[in-house]
Amino acid sequence: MKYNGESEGVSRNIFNLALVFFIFALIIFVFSLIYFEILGETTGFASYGYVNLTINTQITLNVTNNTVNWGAGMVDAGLVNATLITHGGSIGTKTGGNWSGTNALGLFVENIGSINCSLSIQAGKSAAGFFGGTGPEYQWNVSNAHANACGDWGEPSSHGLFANVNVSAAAVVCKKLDFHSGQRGMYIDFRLVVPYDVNSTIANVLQADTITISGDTALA
Amino acid sequence: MKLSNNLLFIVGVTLDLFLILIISAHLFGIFDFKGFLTGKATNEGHLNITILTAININLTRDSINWSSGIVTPGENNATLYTRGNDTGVVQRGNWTGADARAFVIANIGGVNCSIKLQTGKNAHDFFNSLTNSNEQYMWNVSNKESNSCSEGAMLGAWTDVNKTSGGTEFCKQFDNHQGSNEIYVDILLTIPYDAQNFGEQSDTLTVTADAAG
Repeated sequence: MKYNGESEGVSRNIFNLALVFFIFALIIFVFSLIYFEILGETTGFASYGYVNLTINTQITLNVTNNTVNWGAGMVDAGLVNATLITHGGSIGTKTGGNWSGTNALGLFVENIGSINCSLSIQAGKSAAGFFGGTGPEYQWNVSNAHANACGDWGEPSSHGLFANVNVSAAAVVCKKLDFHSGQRGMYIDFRLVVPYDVNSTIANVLQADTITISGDTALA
Repeated sequence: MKLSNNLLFIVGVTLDLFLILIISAHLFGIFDFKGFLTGKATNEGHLNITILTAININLTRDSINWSSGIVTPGENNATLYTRGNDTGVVQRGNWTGADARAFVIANIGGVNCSIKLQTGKNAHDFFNSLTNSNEQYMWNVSNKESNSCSEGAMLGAWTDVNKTSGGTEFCKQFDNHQGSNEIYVDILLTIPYDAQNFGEQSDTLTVTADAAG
């Protein structure tokens, strides 16, 4: 009998312990579900139905026109430099040289993702690295290809005004680039001042630079 | 009763494990759905250009005109010479040096080059002295802008012109940079009293630019 009584006491203690754990675990479990919004707000005893759906958003940039190609040309004899400028979707223009602007259109960047984003650009070379010589310039200018594409401009110098390219770090040129169709395209135009006395290692050899274009979470 | 206790124990332990799982998931951010929401996109644009360079020289001043004159009577010869941008000098004759200034050659190309000079005549061809004396036709190359010309024949000295094919190389390195890309070619004529070539006489100076030496 004593044995049975001890066994019953042990079982009761185990039962009580398990019961305490059970209640504690249940409480934590329910609160966890509420905390992680798996159950949503507590709603008493009202009867509701829920449809749960997760839509992931994504930033995707498409550089539709991704190459500015001036081809080969030279500074006009007797001049100290030539200036080459792209004009968005129109052909590039030049003064003081004989390059062709036919394939020199501004880069066209579109936010084809599903959320507004910021736009940063970074060049691989500086003007001196690109040309050498006397008084070289390498500048860009970011502008709306679609009206109101950029809702909050970044660096003021890049908004409708040519400014020296950034090499050491990316420049945030637009804090909020729209993603809606017809309102999400931007141009990156370039202005090059090619000196008459480019470095001999640069002359007569194709020179190229890569512009890194990054989209990240909108800043505004 | 014992079976029920065991069942409750198992259920309790299971829920405890579930609790640990939830807490662990929370700690490791598995429920942090916001982390999946936005990606980062990177793309590239390219800019290409080829810059051609060419040798290009320009005779900024390409004519020396002494006009007409005679050797002063009683003299064996007259000497005429240019001196850079200044008017020409006339000795023992009555020519005028007003339009007689040195040739000026500028390197307006995109690269350094070499320069060779060649005339169409020598002194005797020019004047045809009866005694084959008292006649000179010389040139003198000098920097109009400092450091324009280097590594070639002697600069700043009068020497007989060269009419042989290929001429004389004066600058192996004729600079193309603004401010150091111009040279003078001065000309000296000694006209004999017994010159057999009368009337207007002329010659052509050929300037050849090639790759820098």
